[in-house]
Order: sequence, then structure tokens, then C-alpha cells
Amino acid sequence: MDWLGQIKLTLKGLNVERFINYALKKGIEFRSLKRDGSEMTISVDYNKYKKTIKMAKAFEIEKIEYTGLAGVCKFFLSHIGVIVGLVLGLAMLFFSLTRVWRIDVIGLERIDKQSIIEILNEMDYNIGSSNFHIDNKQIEDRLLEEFEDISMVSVIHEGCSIIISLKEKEYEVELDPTFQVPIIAGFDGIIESIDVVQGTPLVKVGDVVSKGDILIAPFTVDSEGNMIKMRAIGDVKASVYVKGSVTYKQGQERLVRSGNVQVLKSLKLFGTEFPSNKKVEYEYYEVEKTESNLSNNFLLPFKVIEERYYEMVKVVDNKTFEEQKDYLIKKSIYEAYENLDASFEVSEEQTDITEVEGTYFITTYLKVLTNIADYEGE
Amino acid sequence: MYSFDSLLDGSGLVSSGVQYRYMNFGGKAFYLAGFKEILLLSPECVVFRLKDRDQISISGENLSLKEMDTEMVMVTGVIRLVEVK
Repeated sequence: MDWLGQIKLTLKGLNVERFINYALKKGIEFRSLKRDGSEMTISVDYNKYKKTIKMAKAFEIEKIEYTGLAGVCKFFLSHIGVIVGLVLGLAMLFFSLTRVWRIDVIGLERIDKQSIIEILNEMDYNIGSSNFHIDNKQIEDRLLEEFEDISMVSVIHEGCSIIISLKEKEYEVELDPTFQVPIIAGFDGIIESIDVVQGTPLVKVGDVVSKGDILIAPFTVDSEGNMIKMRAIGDVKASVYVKGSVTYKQGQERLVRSGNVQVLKSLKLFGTEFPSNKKVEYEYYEVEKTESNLSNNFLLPFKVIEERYYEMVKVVDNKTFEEQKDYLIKKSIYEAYENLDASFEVSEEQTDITEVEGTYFITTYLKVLTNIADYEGE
Repeated sequence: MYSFDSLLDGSGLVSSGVQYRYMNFGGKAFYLAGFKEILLLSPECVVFRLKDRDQISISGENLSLKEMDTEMVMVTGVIRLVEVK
């Protein structure tokens, strides 16, 4: 069996037996022989191909087929375009594998990526340049030399990529004693998260803290046990509860506005007040005071002070707690929101009612998650 | 090429004569060793002259030859009759 494969010939003619016997005597081995009328198909090894063709001169050769490796070679030789395409494809593949197509820079915070790329370009490492002679050490040295902010750099050349991993220098810690300020709690609350930039945390998540407690101390301890003083920097988030409460007792006396109002006006010039001669007519009252300019005359800037006195009268609560319950709950919620800073976002609202000897205490708690970090003395 | 001696020895299948040997495999393949020349090749009949001047005729349908050299040949197809004359 010839490793090059075989040739299949279709011959047309008479007296094929004579041809077969002659060929056998001349050392031709037939892999297959088939006759159909005057047409005969034979297969011979590729290395006997020319010899067989010579012997078959008396026949008309209608068709030649190639099988095995000879067939593959014949196909490529008769389809030169495929060879050219393959060669070009391989050449392009080889070309693309020997180029730099990607430059990645990892770990940048302050340094601009483009400035790193520009340094590489100066060193003739561009996108599309050959990747045969990339010197990682040379790039590392150059980047350390060019950028003072880089503390560590590592260059890896992998395939068609250059990967630059660098670490920027940390800002130096403030050692000025005047900046040794701790972070304290600005509100009462329960710690939810602590993010320390510098300093030593004195509380942990879940701790209950009161306003004024130190949360992050203004020092740290290095690996040798030395205390390094610094300004505490960080965020401490906590759940803060804002409270609003009212009390109610049936039969209790309380003051309410009667609806009568008395208005007293007086003048004020350069801080000197000229009060009204009238007196307040009510025994119990609430007062609201407003101040406004008398005119737009800046030479004599008189101001009018208006005091509105609301008469208050004593009433006795005869309604039961159940009758007043909805109103009292709403009032306690209102009181709680009055005590809440407008910037806070309420995450939970809860109202508790407690009764002690006929007196009802209605308390509403508003839960907010906020940064309670505050700097002492600032 | 194949050596039939090892195949034929003790096989119990048809084999005869000193100058040639043959074996018929279920009417689908026929091995012959020791032929001198081919006398006839057609899809219905293949005739060989043997070395002792006898002839062997293989009749059937769709007959063809495989692996043929000066010593041995294999006839494939539907083999119905083998005659030695």
C-alpha cells in the first residue's frame, strides 16, 4: 500500500484481459478492477501511476481520480487560489500574533492612563508594534522614573497584550498635632457601618453610642507598637432614632385657644423700641411676634413690631382615650417630624402607647440611617 | 499482498491441488492463489488459467477484482458458482 494514495483510472477499449496479464507481469498490482462492457475501472498505487498509463496507451483514458494524500496534493495544485488564500491567512495570523493590540493599565487613581500610554509610545511600544522585543523591566524602570506617585509597578507581556499593574503612593499622614482630632458621635444611635480612612475605631457595628462619644481615635499603632498621632478620618453610619411624644389623661385641664386675638403694635428705630400704651387683656395667652419695615426710607429705618396675643382658656378633657386616640397618635408623629432634620430620610416609623395610672404616653420613633461622624471642636 | 497459506492451513474450507489454492467466503468473497493469467473479466463471470493448465470459473453478479498481483486475487460480488475445469 502506497502512503501517497491511489489513482483510479477509467479505461475504454477491448481486450482488457490481455492488458491486465501484461501489467501483472510488469509488476503492477491492482487494488481494484471492475469491468462494465467496454469500460474498465482500475485502481493502482500512485507510484505505479505513470507506468500504468504507459501500458494503457491502447486504451482511451476517460477519467483520472486521485485518492489519499495524492488526491489532496492534486486538489491544491489544481486550486492554486486556495493555497494562496491559506498562505495569506497564515501570514496574517502570524503577523497578528506578533503585534501588540492591547495595553491595559490597572490600579490608576490619580495618574491619567493616557500619560502612561504616551510614555510607552515614546519607548516605541504602540498598538500594532512588534511584540518580539518587549522589555518589561525597561518599562517598569521608566514608569517609576517618570511618575513620582507610583510606588510599585509590574509589567506583564501576555500574547498580544501589555498589562501594566501599578500602585500609587498613599498620601502622607497628617502628623501636625493641631490636626489630632477624633471623630465623635453627632447623634445618639446604633452603629451600622464604619469606614475608617485613618485613625483607630473605638466602636464596632451594633454598638449603641450617645452624642459626644468618640468613634474614631486620632492615632494608629504601627507594626512595631509605636503610636502615630494623626487626624481621624472616616465615615460612621448609624441608625438614629428621633422621638416625638404626647401625654393624655381624661379629666385633665389644659389650655386651648379661644379664638380671640389682640394685636399690639410698636415702633423700633436703631434698636430703640417705642412700645404701645395698650396692655394685654387676657389672663392666659400665646404670643406671635413679627417685625417689618415701616417704609423703604433708609434715612429713618423705622420698624413695626406686631405682637398677636391669642387668648387661651382652660378646658377639661372629658373624652375617653379611645375617642382621642387617632388625634393623639397623629400629634406625636407630628412632634417627631418637628424634631427631625430635613436632610434625614426616614426608614422606619413606630408609635408606642403606654398607660400609667390613667395617663397615656404616646411616643413616635423615626428611624433614620445617617453618617453621625462629627469632628470635635469643628 | 496477503499470504494465503496461513489462512488456508487447517481452515477446513475448500482448498485443493498443489499448484493453486482457493477459498470461498459465503459467496461474497473468493480468494485464489496460484493462478497464471486471467482469461475473462466481466460482471457475471471471471475465468483464470491455473498453473497446472486447468481453468477456474467464478460465476455470479456484479463481480469485480480486488488486491490483484501475480500470485493472488480476490473476487468480490455475489458468487453463485465456482467451477474448476
